[in-house]
Amino acid sequence: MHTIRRAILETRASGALLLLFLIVLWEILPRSGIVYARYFPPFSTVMAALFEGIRSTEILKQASISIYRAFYGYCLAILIGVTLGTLTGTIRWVSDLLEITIELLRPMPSVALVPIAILLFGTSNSYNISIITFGCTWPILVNTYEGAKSVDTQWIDTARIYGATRSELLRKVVVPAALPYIVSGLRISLATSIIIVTVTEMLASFKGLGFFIMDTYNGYRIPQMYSGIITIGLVGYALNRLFMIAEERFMAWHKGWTAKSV
Amino acid sequence: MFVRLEAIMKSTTPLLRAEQVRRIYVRDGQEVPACANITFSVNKGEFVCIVGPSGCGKTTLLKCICHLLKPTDGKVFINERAIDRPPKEMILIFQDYSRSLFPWRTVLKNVLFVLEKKNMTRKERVDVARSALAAVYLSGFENHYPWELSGGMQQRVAIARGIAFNPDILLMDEPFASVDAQTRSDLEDAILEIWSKFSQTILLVTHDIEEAIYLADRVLVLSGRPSEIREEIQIDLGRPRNQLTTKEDKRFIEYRHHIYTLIREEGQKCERRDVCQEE
Repeated sequence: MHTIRRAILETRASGALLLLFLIVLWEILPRSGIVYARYFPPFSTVMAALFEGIRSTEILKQASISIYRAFYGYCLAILIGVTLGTLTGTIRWVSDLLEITIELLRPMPSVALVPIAILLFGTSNSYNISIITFGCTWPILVNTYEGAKSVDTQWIDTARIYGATRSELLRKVVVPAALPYIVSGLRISLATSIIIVTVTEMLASFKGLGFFIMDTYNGYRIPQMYSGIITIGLVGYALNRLFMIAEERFMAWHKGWTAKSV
Repeated sequence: MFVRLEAIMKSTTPLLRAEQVRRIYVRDGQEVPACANITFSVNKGEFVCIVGPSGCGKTTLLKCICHLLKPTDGKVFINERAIDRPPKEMILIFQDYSRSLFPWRTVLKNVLFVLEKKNMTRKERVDVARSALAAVYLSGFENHYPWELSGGMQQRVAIARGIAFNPDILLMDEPFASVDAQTRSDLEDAILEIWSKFSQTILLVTHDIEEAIYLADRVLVLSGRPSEIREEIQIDLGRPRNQLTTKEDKRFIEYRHHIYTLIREEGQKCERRDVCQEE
């Protein structure tokens, strides 16, 4: 598809050259002894470990577990964040009711809740997913709230004139109108979900890329450790690209509209 | 020539009737009256225009009539049934077209929006939407986004939405105020065409006296704030109207003279009392 091709070709020549240069550095520094090769293996060694991990499907399995957990938590966060954000942004008594609680819960670092999640869920997927959901809800909620508050009243009046019920107003006018704001929250939370899944897995999981990194670290399999780290980086990168493609597709109207309004 | 309407109209039940509608704003603890005592009626199939001095509460009046704003006092009846919320028989078309259409929907989907609650199949809805757009000469623009269209075209889409919904009565709040003069003449004729083709009933508010006379069967002149109906004038100019010949007609000029004088008076009264504010 045109947009996929365009997204991939985003990097220009100079950027590719820099990357190449860094990779060459990565190869030379350990090999020449300037950097201790045991703890910082050359690029080729890491790549070999990565390909071995892919061939044996071990890395792929761990990656899919992490992606599953992150995605699950992210989806739950979207559900909760958009719903609460819309309601607090449009209905006065809801925002009065929830504001203080939200303001107190929001600054809590999600990983500080790890002990609670372990006590409640052991080390199952629910442990990871609950923390991911907690951490990812807030950016979405806050941005949705801002978006809901900024909906043009004439759009609402127009919908009311044509007989829209309260629920139709929220679904068909407020949420679409607030989408540009919501998307900002979605983008932040996507990155957050990867961070949180990695950290929770490192702390107390027996599966997933975060666990894999700690396990290879403890087992002194350093090139494999690096391969796990790179894989997570690649997963994050790929998800971001997918997000950008989706945003291009669905939010094209917003770019055109804001350009016209200037 | 200037006939004051009275019990003549009681013989047919009016489609829309406003009775002593009042609307008071509270600003900085002070009561600011916008509409004082608005009483009038509109019969089925009529084209009625409301004119008045600037700032006399024309937009407020329309919003109260359709209950987007609740009147402080008084009642509004549709087919003699009192209403308490925006009724499905009535549609209001706003002055600011750029804020009327949803920018996240295409032109066609904007029109489809008003049909989504109606009991029709998807195909029927699309057909109705398309013919509404055709009635305003916008066929071919279905898949454009509103901001890709000119101001006049956007206002036409808003009108197409009204046509597609097919209400009993169409309220229009200075719908052509924000477009250029040439587009305005075209839109005036377009609305007359729609009015006769779809046998609509229209209540249109405007500050443009000539526009009011050109379009209407009957013109209601508002006083300054707090506004009341100062005078009702039957417009006896025959149909169909024509931008050139109608406006050269002797009677058109007399109507214009009379209404302009009235509005001037009301405007000056308002200034002296220092009550009028920008809407």
